[in-house]
Amino acid sequence: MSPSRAIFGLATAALLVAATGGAGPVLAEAPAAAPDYTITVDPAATGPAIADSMYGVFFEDINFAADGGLYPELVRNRSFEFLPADNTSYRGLTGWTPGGESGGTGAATTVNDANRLNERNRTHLRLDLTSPDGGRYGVTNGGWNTGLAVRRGATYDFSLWARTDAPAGTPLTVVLRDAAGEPLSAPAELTVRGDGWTRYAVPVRASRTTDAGRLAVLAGGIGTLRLDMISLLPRDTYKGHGLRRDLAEKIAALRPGFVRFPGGCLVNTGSHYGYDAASNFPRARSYQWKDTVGPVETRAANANFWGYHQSYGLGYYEYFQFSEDIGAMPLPVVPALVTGCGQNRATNDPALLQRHIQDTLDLIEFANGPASSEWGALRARMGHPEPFGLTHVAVGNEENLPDAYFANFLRFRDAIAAKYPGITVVGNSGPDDQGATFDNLWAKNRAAGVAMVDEHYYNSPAWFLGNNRRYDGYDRAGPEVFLGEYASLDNKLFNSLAEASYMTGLERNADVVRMASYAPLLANVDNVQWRPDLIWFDNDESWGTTSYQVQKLFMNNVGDRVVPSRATGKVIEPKPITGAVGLSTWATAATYDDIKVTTPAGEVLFADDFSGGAGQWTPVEPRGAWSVVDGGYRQSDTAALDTLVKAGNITATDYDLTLKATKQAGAEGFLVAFGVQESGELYWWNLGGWNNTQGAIQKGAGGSKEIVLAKPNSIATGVTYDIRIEVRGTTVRLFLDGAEWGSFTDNQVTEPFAQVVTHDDATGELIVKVVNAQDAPAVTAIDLGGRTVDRRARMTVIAGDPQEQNTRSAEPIQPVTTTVGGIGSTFTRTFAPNSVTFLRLRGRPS
Amino acid sequence: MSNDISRRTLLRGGLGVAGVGALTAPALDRGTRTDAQIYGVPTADPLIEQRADPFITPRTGGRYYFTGSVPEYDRLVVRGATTIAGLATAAESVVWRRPATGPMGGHIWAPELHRIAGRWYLYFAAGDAGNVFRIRMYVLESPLDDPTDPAGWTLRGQLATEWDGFSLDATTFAHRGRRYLVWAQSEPEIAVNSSLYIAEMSSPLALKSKPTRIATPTRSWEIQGFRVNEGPAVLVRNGRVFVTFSASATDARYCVGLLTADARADLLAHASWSKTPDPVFVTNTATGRYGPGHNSFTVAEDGVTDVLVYHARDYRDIVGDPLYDPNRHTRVQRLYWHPDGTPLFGVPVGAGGPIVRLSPAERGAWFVRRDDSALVVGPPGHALADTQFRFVASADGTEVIQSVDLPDRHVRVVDGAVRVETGTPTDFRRLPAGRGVRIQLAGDATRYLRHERGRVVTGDASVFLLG
Repeated sequence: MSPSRAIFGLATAALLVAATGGAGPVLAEAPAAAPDYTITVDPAATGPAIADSMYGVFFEDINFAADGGLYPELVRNRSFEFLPADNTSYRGLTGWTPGGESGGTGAATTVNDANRLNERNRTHLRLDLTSPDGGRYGVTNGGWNTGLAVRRGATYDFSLWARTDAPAGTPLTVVLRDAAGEPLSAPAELTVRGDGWTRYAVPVRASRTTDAGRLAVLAGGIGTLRLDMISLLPRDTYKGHGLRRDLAEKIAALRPGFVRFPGGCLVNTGSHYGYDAASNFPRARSYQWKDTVGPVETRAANANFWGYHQSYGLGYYEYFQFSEDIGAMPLPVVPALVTGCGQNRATNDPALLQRHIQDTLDLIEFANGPASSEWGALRARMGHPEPFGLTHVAVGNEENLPDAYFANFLRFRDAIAAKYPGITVVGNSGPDDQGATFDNLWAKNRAAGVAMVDEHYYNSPAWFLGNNRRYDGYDRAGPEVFLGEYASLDNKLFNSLAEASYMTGLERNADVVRMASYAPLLANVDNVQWRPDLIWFDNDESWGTTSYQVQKLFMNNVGDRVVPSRATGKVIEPKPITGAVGLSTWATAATYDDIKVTTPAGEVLFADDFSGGAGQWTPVEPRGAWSVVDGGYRQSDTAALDTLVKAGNITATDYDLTLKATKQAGAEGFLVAFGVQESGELYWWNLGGWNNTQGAIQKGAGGSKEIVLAKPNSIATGVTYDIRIEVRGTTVRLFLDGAEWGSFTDNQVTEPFAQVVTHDDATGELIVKVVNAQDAPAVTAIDLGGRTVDRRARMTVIAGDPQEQNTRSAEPIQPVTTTVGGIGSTFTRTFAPNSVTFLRLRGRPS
Repeated sequence: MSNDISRRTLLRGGLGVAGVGALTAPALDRGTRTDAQIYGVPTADPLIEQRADPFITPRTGGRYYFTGSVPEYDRLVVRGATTIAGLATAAESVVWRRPATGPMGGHIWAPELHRIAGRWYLYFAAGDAGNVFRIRMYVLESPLDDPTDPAGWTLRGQLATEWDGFSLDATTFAHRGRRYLVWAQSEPEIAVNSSLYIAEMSSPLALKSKPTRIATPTRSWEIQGFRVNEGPAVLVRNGRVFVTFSASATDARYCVGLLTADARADLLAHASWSKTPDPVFVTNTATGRYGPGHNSFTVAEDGVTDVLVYHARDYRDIVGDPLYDPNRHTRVQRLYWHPDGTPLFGVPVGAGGPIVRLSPAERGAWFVRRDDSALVVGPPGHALADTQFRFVASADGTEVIQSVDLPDRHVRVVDGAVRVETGTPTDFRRLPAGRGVRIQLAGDATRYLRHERGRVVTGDASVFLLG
């Protein structure tokens, strides 16, 4: 910590006034001990209005957020559409177990033939029944996670589509069971008649509560029975609109101002062609909204970008309905025919582009058009004759081809503007918080007068604590900012404190940042493709992370207008880069040798030529196959990722790390780490990263690393490279084969204390929001700039061990609301270590 | 454990904190009690070589039983003796060996023996033959009175938890009519090796409630090398439920932390538990004991003295993976109590004879304490080891007084000043005096150690009580 230092430029003068006693009555109430921080509210200035849409949620079907999550279908693979194209482990019968009972026999196969339910529901279950004398044969579904979660006494709607060639029909028994086969419901009986597809439905009532249920569908007799869309849905859903109640309620409790949907990488990856014969039914397609509306059995299945099957049971109608149900503005994202997320392809097909543009116009009609319009009529048929009130459409997500993307974006925008001039069309700035693509896209958006630009970034807590002022310098005349995806990269309280600190900066800049959403929103604990996440769940429980609690606090206490304020106090100065050195690889076999750390004067601080083995090295993660081979230290497993080993403990602040590195095989190059801390924090020089296309310096811990600098780079196999890293305090120069490759200075000051003040027009309250992201309490002198307030105030605090997490086994980090006294025009409060505090101060006539 | 609680309740008429003081200064009568009797715990160190994760039962049917991890990680062993000291030489019975293939064919770790409703249960952790680190918890059951008899043991299968994952170090206890399991497990959302969980049991073989996480590695001492909380051990005393646990990698950085809950609290609520900010028991280079941990508790033969059972190495630096260094030896030492009811672990006491604490007779609740090189007297603090001393006898019948946590230092009288420092120790004689002793300078029969206003000086004798 340093001595006091102005956090905002104007603060120094205020401190001087206080120090010389010029503040009069203010000083009379000052505490004996000097405060660590001051917050001074400007007596006169008014700040920007805060949009009602300031904070929202971003829903994407990642981590089984839709199927197996918010969409409460209890049957996994209800339509027998799970295919290897969705996930290499999937088969038509994934999730199902065929078998006979009471002597019943038969055969179960999934078939993709002309007997299908409809053109877009291509595969169905065929049961060849051979039980002439009683007995039953059929299939049992194991549900999601540990099984079907059912509650005692609750009703579930079973339905299926079926046809049979048995002249007298085929008797069906439907029963819920536990994992041991004991019944969880009375068996429901029905008879399938006729060899044409017919929907059958019967309610099922659970007799016991379990999270490990099974659903058995068993047929009798002989003949060929065809089944599809075997479904079991809870009758109890959020507002009766078909979404899982606990998850929807947790989202609703955030009081989101908007819902961005349906992605994400989900939106714009894969083929942009239709699910039709002309295109040979491409399975991995971009998110095309018309695939997702109408009767569920007609919705086109898709391979989810995140590696699983997407049923579209949760589709555009459901997204709009859910947004309405939680009072949030819907913000759909449509693909721009340029893929991002590592695919990075542009589809050059003018007719297809025109079709997608028309689809987007049709989407607006679906949302807003009268029930007499073509697409408005579909909305009405689905149950919502009134318009949904769509105001914003985003085109594209994290495209890495700025030129191709932006050309298409403008086509979409112009077409929408021509037909629906009231609709705001949102562009984006690519997948990172900075860099060439970011700069390029921002320049394009600015030049084209785009109304709003969607920024995405996932960074370390230190980044968030160091970039509170990111938007202070944004051009007020340029596009507004939609921070559509962000998170500090872990699920610990400290990450949430960093986010909270950053959010004070978003709010202070509410004239520029009009919308912001943490991401991702949901994660099924057994099926995680991305973390951290805001809300976690399994098949019968859900729980909010520490970031959920922080988001909820901010989202329920936004205020209508910023009240300008400034703070002074201690900051954390950058530390020199010290610690262990490390070697790692990523899907690559490589050998390192002649590792040496020396001072500028030549004193050897650490050296290893592996002539005596590799005893100095310890694995940081138990991954990879490290051994001494031919006098070098070799990692030989080309499948292993992040195989970091470390050695030494460099306490000098100025040193050179030199080594030789040779790639044997694999996808990438080298990872050479320095400044490796016990906490896992490190820097590494990533050479030949991103499939041997990019080099970078990354900083962070574990899976949470941000890019400090990046430029194109690839590493040749079989070539020995000389690597030298010169560390001088916080400045690092990087040399590859003797040539300077890059350099950086990491002297970011960390501001552990952040604040913003807003005004709530409805209640007349001042909301003072203070984040203290450090282990020490923050004694803070607060001057409300002459405003008079009640002596008592409502205070909500989220605080705790910064390394704690809320998980299914415990949610230790919770907000605590109390009433506190001692409030006044000037007052002193001590904010707890590692805390977020919201004070709601009720105004009083002076 | 439950028997123990009721006995204490009877002894002291309640679980309140007020009764605790009696424990810290038990009735002292130097005339009839040796230092060994006062200390009350065997001083053989190690007690048992190459047995890690040691567990000693409460005395059951007149016998103590021991089990622990063997360096080969291939079998479960039990030994029994009428005294704790006797476990050192008791025959060891192999009651179970891992199968050659399949589940439980991998590493066999950290068994614990529990007597529940007239049967013995061995809780242990085992990997698979094909993946020795796919560790899960399993239970063996024996209806016999003698748990060393291999014939009684039957495998009762895996102890399944809410989610499948790396899980180990099960311990069980009954409290206020309920039986609980505490164990270590990895949890998908938390990027640590293992956290600690508690759940209520429906039987010795199964859980009834969902698990509640009571600790996860968050502090620097818990994440050295590996992010570990493991080896929980439960001790119910003084109106509180204490759970010790071990943290970090199993080398010299391994150490013991402490969780505390009110005995009347809902033990299944995370909020009932608080973690002591710093570790309570760590490596001590002066006594030469490294990586102490994976402890359990038992009660000495006197039925009163609490005993800390743990493993530690004699050396810091390990060649290769610490997991395969066999020399984590079983050690025992006395567990002390502060008058506020909290346990005092001190340091791993290392080699040497019985340990005593000295209190001036006129201030029986105070202790003689080494303060750097000075010898002072004051109220009990939370640092135990600076009040622990050994009287080491010489052939001529005199004794020197050795510091426990700095064993190269002794009490020296130099130019009349009393110091605790290196150099030739001063010889003393202890002379019985009522319930205590006078400590006479062997070289000057007119001078004694004397308590004077918070300092130990020489002069006329003070009587010191030994505890």
